[in-house]
Amino acid sequence: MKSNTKSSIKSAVIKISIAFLIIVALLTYFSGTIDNYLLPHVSKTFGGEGTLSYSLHTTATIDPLLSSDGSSLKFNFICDRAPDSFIQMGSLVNFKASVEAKENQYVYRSGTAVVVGKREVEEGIECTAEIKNMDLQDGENMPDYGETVVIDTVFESQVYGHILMKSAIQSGSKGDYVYLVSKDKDEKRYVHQTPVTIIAESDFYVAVDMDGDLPIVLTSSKEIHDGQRVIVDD
Amino acid sequence: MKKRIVIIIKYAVLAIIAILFLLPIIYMLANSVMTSSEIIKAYTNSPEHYANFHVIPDQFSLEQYYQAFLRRPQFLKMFWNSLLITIPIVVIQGLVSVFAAFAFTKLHFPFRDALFFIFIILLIMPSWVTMVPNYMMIQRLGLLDTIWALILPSAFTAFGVCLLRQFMRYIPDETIEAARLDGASTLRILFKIVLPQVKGGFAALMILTFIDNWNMVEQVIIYITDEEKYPLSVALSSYAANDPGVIFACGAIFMIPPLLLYLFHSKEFKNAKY
Repeated sequence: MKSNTKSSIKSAVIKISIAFLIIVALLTYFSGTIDNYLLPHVSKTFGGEGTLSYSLHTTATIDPLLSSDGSSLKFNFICDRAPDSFIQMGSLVNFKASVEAKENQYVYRSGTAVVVGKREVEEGIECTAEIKNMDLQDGENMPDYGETVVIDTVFESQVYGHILMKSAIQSGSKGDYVYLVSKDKDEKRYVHQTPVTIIAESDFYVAVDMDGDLPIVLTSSKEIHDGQRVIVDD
Repeated sequence: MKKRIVIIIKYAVLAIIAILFLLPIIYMLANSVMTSSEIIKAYTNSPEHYANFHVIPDQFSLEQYYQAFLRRPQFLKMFWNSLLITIPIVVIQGLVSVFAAFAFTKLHFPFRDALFFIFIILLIMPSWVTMVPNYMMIQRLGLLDTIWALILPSAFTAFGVCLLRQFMRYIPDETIEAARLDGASTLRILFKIVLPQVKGGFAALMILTFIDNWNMVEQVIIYITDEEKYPLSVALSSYAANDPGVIFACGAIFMIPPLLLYLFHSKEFKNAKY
């Protein structure tokens, strides 16, 4: 009886051992396939040098203090979302102005205006830009002083070292970070958390201060974590 | 009544000691079914906030096993590396120990006791003393960064010989002489007469050798540089800081082979005489 119990324990242990080893062997054999199947797919980007631009569609008021020679035009408008760093005194503002002037008359202009004044108001930053040497075509009229016109302007920031799309920036309890993609000797790709400091941002892009020039994860099919292996969609 | 109280106290003391021994295993198993965030929270301590050790998970999760089995193929490969290193050591050491112990106990040859004395000296010598000569020898043999650098030094140790010799000493010489008279060869005497009588000792040797080498860390770090050849024991010690959750699950998996080996030999181990 005792001997039977002993042999049944042994045979059970042998069966369990064989089952365990077979399961582990199968998982090991297919581990690469399973892992690849479950790996997050990421798209990458490179943080290049560049400027940020800030587009504004708003109304402006023609400055009543405009010089009377009629060749230049000052207009005031509120920049409600633009970062202060974009609007610098003396900086050039690319504008595509469709200035609605008088009734049934439109003055179209595109070119460059110069920021000649700015002040903080409740709604944001009130900016004064000046278009110099306006060359009116026949049939075009100058808007009247104090008149409200519609303008589309594009502000360009200074040149930054790293410009990234906003979706590449992640935020956590320790601040903002991005995932850099590196590869090992077997060409497997891994992501590594790297902290970044946001210097300026526009609607879709940010200028960041960061170390390293490896590719940066832009989007991921699944949640990723530091040190995780990923598949990069080239 | 007094006798009963004494028994209760004895059992209580034994139970406390048993719990103390089991606590790390219980703790490991409990942590292996916790979520990563719960484990990280438990291990985060600061001057204002003590580590929150607990054994009952707030939320039961098999996430760690999922990670260990399906998402970290390197751990499974390391598991096989562990087996690949440990099994040859156990087999070679078992064979060498049986033959050597039999020779030192039952065979008669010149300087037998003097040679055994040298074996005893080797036994009491810490492994760190032989580490550097071993390293130099392995380097000259061109075995560095191969699993043989781990297998060979560990396969030939004095411990098994001394252990089995102690068991074999109690086998009466008359049994062996009777077998010899019946025409049995030395090998037949060893495997058919002696070995069945020292099954308990042999089982103990197998289990102890397996556990000792299954947990090998230092030798691996010294002799092996290619991380692909690392056994799981090294991963458990080096990955613990980065990924404690998965390491608990790996620890539970890592525990299975020695446990199965013990269960397989449990009867012999418990019934070992002498």
